[in-house]
Amino acid sequence: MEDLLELAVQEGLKNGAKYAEAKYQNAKLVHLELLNGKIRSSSLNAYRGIGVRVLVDKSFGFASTNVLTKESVIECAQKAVKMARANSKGGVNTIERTRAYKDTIVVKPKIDPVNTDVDDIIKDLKELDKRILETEQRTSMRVLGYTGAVQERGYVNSDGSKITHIIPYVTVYRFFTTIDPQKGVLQRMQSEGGSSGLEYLKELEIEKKAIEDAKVLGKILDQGEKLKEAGYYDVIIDGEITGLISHESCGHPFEADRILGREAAQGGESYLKVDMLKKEKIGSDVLSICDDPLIEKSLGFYVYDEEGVPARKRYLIKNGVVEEFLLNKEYAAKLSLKSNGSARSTAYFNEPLIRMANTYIEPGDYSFEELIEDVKKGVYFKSYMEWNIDDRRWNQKYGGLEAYLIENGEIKGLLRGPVLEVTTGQLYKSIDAVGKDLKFEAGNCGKGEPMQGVPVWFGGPTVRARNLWIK
Amino acid sequence: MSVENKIETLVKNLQEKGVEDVIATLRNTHTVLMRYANNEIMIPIINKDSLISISIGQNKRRLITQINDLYFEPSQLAENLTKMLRQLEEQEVYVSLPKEKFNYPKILEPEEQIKKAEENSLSYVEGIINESLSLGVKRVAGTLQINYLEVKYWNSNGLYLEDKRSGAMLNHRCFLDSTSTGQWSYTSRNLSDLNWKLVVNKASEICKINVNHKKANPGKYTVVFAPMIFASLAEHIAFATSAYGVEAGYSYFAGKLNKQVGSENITLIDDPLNEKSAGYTRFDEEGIPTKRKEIISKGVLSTYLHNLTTAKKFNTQTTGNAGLITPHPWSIHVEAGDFGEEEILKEVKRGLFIVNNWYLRFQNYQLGDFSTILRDGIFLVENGEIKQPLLGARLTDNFLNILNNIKGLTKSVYPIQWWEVNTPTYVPYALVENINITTAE
Repeated sequence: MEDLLELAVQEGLKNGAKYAEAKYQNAKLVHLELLNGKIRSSSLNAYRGIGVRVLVDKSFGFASTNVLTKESVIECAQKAVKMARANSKGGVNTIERTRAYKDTIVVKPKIDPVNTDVDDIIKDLKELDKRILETEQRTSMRVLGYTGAVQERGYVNSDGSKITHIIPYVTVYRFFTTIDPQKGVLQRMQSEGGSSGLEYLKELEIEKKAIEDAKVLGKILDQGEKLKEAGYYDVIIDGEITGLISHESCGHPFEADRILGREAAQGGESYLKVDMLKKEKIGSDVLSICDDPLIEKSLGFYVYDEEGVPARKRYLIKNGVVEEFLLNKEYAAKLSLKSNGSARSTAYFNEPLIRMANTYIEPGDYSFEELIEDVKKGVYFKSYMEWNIDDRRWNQKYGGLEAYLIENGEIKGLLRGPVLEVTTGQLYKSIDAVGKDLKFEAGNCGKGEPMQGVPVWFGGPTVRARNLWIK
Repeated sequence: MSVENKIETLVKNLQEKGVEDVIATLRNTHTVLMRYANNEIMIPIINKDSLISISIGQNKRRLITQINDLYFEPSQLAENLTKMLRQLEEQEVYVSLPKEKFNYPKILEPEEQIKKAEENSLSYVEGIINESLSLGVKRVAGTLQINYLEVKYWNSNGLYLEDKRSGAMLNHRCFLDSTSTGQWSYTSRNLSDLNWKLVVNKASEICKINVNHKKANPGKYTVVFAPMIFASLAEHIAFATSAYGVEAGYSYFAGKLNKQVGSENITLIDDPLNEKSAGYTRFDEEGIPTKRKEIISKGVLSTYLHNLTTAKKFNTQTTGNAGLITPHPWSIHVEAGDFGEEEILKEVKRGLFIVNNWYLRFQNYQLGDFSTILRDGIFLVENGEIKQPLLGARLTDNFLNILNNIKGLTKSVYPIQWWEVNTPTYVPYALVENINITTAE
């Protein structure tokens, strides 16, 4: 396949491109879904193809094909050049030129997540479904799903880089509806996963987490009470939610293409301006947020990005200050910076965009007990259901699912449906203590047009934020 | 051997291995996508692809496969699929493919302009950018997407069908500064029907009055929803009628068939036979002819959307909405009302005019509780006139509450399709009372 990629790059250069890159994707996926212990969908999919991106003068062009012949790949490269050239009179694009890297990264699963005995997976999911129902009989609708995948991605560029990744993925998701005719309806949606073989599911303790979810939904129905009074509370936020916060209100607005307006009509822009880099303090001293593609077994794992740049850990916020933007080679060149390896795409037919990998709040040294001990009047958000954020990543909302009242340093009763609706500035500046209990959640991050979903982790420890409005 | 011959061989091979029901579909797609931002085309993208979908069923077991490798070996693929099929468990409800012969709607040939999109779309977008800037906005961003799709369908009962589908979609956002924005979109089956001037005018008009904001106040409001946001709400409502979601807890319409779920002002239709719509489709994934259907008729939920399997579970007939796995609408239409566009605003003494939204997320699917961020124009309306532009508001409400509080709709209807609205959705402006708005403190 490397020959075809090389051919595409050479064809791009031959036709006048000053930079060309070609990528190959071969993805195999198996998917199973059960409703109330009965299988309701099963699929086995395989996609492969080549995408070519070129820079002609100051304009990019991109074309893709699933026909993997020399003729088709040559035609594909020629189309990319033709479109770029046609657009070149008003072009504004450029790209950082980097040294060449040649490498092959293979994550070998112990148990292949695609070519495996699906009847064993179905058996395990059925058993899990039974345990959930035994735990809480009011969990009347239970969706359990498994997705296993193996992705091979090849990459060649005109600077001489040749890189291959072969990575397996496993994900299990669950969606529970617990109904009590007198007490109402509650729902929980969650998934766990990583870049590993089927054996990794045991490490993820899915059964323990799913059964705990079922118990908690029942407990909230039985004991949960509405927050008596909206007002300012100290807030303890579990890593499930701080992870989402780090992704949504830090990771996305730190994408340089957003800051400079490229995603303005779709994913939106950012509360950050270029001149805030290394200067602006947007959070408290104890808040540092990173993104790191090199976490093994993570969903966001990669060693080189899709422009051939080595991946590394990036501090986005360091002690409250804007430390680094997420950059690809295009935006690094525009800002006279160096790419930090953030280019990713969903498929061979998508252009690479600036993306997160595994975004998280850096852990501190507080135990949970220390975090709550001096909270006089507070709310502890342990899990969530609804959330959203505006397109400049400033105004965000988290609808609590499992949440508790805190009084005088003690966890009190279960709350039902407390809401944190807050600006990024308020939230980041109000964090005064960070726990040491870092954990990660599985996610699928969306961006671009057509929408590109890429697998990510987001994580964080439990944090304490002072004096936020809760309703 | 051509790919079509290989698929025919695959169907035979699967039948020889005892597979009772086989559906095979080949989709050849050609997409031209122009992404623009900061008044420039950022990248032209051309995708040519072929996708083969195969659904097989035997002994109440069913397996679905998608591949885009045109060099597959039919007998090997048949062997792999039947091996996995045997490992699966029986489905609770299994329906064989119908043997009866159907009459199908006609094939519509896409216009030549669609097929020549590679040649003409760059200058098309340049025209859009230049027109916008001439109207006084400072910055524009958006997407023009043109698709052409050939579909070929085979099944194990010897049925062979063809379809030709196409679409042109424009999404356009104007800026005066980072918060003074306006956005509009348009969708049509043919490029010649894509009213880009309307999109440019609407987006720039909104942008130019969306200045000098004040912070929004939370509370209950009477609201006029512009078509951009009303299309997003209508699409969510239409998808919530998919029987696949209803049975699994994803829908607030569970148990509400033939019941009043909204005001008499709302009639929601799935119309795959609208010849102007990019959703025009002759047959569904199961080879069943599509048809126009009222989903909500004057506020009454008249049907769920079904494939053969969900129809049997719900003891009814398929509605011709089968997707690969879940039933879904093809082209969503909210029936027009009687109001003029100025007239509908006059109904609001003190309320809001809301243009657009994004990030709609559910707190509870079964109940319909959700919130969504409002954007691209939130205006305080007093005595029927647009007054103060606002920022920082969120619609935090319930779908059944919204449906029940629709008080009026305009005569004018707009076809919307963009990032937040995947299905072509035709909607008017809507007057809705008792809408809950929240904000960050």
